[in-house]
Amino acid sequence: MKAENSYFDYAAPVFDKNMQKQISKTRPLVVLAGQQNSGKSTLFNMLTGANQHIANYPGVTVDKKSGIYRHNKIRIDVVDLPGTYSLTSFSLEERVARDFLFSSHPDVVVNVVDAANLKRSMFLTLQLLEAGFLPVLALNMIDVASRRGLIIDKNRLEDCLGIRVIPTIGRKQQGKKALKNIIGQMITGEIKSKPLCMQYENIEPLLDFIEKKLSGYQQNSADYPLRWLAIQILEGDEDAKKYVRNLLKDDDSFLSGISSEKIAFEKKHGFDISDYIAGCREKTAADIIKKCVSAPTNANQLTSTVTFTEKIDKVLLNRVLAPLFLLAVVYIIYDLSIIRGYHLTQYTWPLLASMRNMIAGLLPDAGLLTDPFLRSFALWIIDSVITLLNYVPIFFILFGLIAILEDTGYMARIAFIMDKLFHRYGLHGQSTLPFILAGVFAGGCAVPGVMAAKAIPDEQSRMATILTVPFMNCMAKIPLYTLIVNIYFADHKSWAMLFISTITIITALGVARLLTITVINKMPKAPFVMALPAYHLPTIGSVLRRALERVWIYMKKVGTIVVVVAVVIFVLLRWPGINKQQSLEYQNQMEQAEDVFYTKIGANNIYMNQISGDNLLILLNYYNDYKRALFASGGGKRKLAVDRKFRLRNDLFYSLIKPGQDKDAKKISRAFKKLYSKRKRFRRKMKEERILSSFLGMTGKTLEPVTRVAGFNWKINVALLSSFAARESSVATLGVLFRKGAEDNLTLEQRMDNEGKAKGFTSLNALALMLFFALYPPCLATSIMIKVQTQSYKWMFFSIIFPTTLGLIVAGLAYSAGSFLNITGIWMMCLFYGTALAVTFALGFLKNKN
Amino acid sequence: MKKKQRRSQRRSNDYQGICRLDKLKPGCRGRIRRHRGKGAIRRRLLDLGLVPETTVAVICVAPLNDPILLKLETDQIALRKQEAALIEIEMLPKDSI
Repeated sequence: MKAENSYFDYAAPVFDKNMQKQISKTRPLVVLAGQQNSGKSTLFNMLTGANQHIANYPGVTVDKKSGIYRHNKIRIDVVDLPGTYSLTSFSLEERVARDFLFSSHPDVVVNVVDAANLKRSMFLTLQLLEAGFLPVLALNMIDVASRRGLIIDKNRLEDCLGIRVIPTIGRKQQGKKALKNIIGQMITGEIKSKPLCMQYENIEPLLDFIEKKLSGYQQNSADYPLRWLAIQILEGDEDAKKYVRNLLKDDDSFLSGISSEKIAFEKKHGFDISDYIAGCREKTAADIIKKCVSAPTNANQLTSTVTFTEKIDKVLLNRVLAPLFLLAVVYIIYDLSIIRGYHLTQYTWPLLASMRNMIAGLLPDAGLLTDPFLRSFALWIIDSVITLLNYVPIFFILFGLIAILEDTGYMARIAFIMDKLFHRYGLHGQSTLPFILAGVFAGGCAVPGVMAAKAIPDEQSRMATILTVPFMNCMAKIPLYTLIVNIYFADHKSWAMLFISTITIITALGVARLLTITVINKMPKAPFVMALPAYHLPTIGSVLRRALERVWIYMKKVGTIVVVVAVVIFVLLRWPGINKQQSLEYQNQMEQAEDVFYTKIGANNIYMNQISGDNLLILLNYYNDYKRALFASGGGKRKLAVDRKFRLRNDLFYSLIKPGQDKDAKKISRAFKKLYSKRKRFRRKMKEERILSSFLGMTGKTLEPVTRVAGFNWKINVALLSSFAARESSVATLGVLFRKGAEDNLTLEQRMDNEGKAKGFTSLNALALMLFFALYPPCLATSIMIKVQTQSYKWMFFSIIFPTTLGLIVAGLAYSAGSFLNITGIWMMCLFYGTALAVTFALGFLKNKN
Repeated sequence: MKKKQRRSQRRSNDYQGICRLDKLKPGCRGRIRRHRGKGAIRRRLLDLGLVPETTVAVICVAPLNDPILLKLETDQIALRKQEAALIEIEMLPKDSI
């Protein structure tokens, strides 16, 4: 992985260049640094307002938030660093933060600290000072501190640290002006700081020695402060050691000398040198706190007083109540976003549908049997985009709820509750969020799920999460499940639905375990250590902002992919197309149908002139548009508006399709509707044949011998293949392929059932299809997201090939076992469920050898 | 009778005892003596303020018995027992401040 690349390797030549591209140093740069939960993001929002955007730091998948604000007519760039506890290279975020600080040469570093927790925050502040940055200290959440009875002497703190201190409340926009003023003065150089230089009594001689040795070796003395570098080496920072080794031209004697000095130190004092350094920092921080903060209770007393957060946790993290509460939360998320959000789409869908019809009106008109290329291509793309846009209300609610969970601090507790279970299967407590987003039970999307996985600090668990998140039931999988359940498991609907919504998480856990003990067992693991934030009330502004931000990112990422994929699938489904002879035959049939129509209405029909020749096609399309508009209107009063609109568009045509007492018009109407449905049937037949003779159809046919083990015929194959591009298209494709009977107004369920009975497609086949669909590889949008998150094509291909193979094996086993035992689908479903549960349970006890 | 004795004995042992942090029961407190972990984990624990000589209390254990939730001044820190086992502590009586 790229993450292993250390800063010292790529920083100077590569990193710098990339940075320069992103940040033109013509503008002053302000960097926000702070620990997690210090309220850094709210302060960032306070400074930049809506002027911000998110990108990745080069080469890694850590979010880089940057924004702009104006102060005294100068535009100032602001970058929000990832939350870090210190400036070492032990975690990816820390490394990225350190990289950026050193390579971007910021004009001002704003060190955001939690005022209620000043001592802990001092660690980073002291390290920033050591590394030669002169931060402005933003004493954030000062209100929480004073509520706890802490009184912070600001002036004294400034004197102790030798830097400027500004009290702020990010959530309430307080301290904005003062902070901006100080930043402005720092940029113009009006403020000179005399920073504190921390002393490490027992190792000062050693530090001096290292500094002297290294001085003169650095080409650019401004690269890294020598004292800081010396401390890093004593702390055992691998990156720093590597850098020094390069600097000294691979002369290892110096570093091995340092190592023996370290051992000697440990022998003499009884503790490790890095413990000593940490202890010194702790002591200095405690000293500063003692001088500047007056608290009602001392530090040790604090540990034994019960805070408000703890009182809440007594209930929410209670052994019995915690799982119940967690389930309730997941259910509420599901109910509000998926179920209610879906209701909401009933209001937004007519909007989208009328938009589609409007665009369709601008395109060249439909032909009699085949449409002009531009029309079918544009409509295909629009339909794909609309399917995506239809999900927006659902995602907005979902992302909003997630933001609330994060802001309140409950999200971290979910990780705490779930960690044991997930850890057993090689995952991580923080895998919960990706799984919820991807749709643990039903409804979600793997794309935000995979994106959310980047928060997992453990590389192995992150990969296992990324690879198993696509197993969840995303929203696009549900239509196919509903279809199959309605046909083949109608008598056991709720059981079948329960099966689907839980089998996915069971298999995901099992597969995660399998992967972590085989393919990815060499990946580095990280301990689960996290600070749980105190409970906060979320603000509406920040929740809305986050929800919008994420919806926007989702739309941008998925939107572009959907369009590209739609083009590819369009090509694969259309070419090489049906041969000339066949299409001629259809043309003949259509001509015959027209002849029948004309004879039926009688040669002396008074409207003959208006509907002969080209006018007939116009009338056919007019009727088609009318029917679509009616369908999109959703009925009721809006139906009348549609009627009015179409009468206005063509009064004569309207009176022909909606004849009153006029005899001639009635005759036409009757015959015309027959002609209309005949045309529709011919078009459908041609479409099916076109698919059959297309690249995708041929592939589906070729795969039939392989997929027969799972009982899939070529039609199912084509549906599955096209659903790789976008899941929701599977039902649409099936709709076209199982078109026999569509003219008699049979539903797709009935049609599939009829054809299934004729060809021996049983509930067992249906079960196999469901299982395969559950394990089916991620859709293309997700695959591309996997590429982005893992930074490797290898893993992307693995994420496609592995589940396909697994799905085929599982579906094949279930199908042949069911056939062998001669049991129905529902019994096989129970059998499979029991087996999967047992296997996953057993896998949980498997020890990881690594 | 014997059982009770043994229990009280164990408890009194615990009070002065030196043990691993993962053995500390919810509601109990201890003072950190030293870290036995190396590298990243040690660093992370130190960064979070689990520095020798500081006092920590165990708030609770997760419903599935792991991880544990610690309290350090006003902070709450969650860590797995596996990592807690790397921290050597000196148990403190419940009521002492």
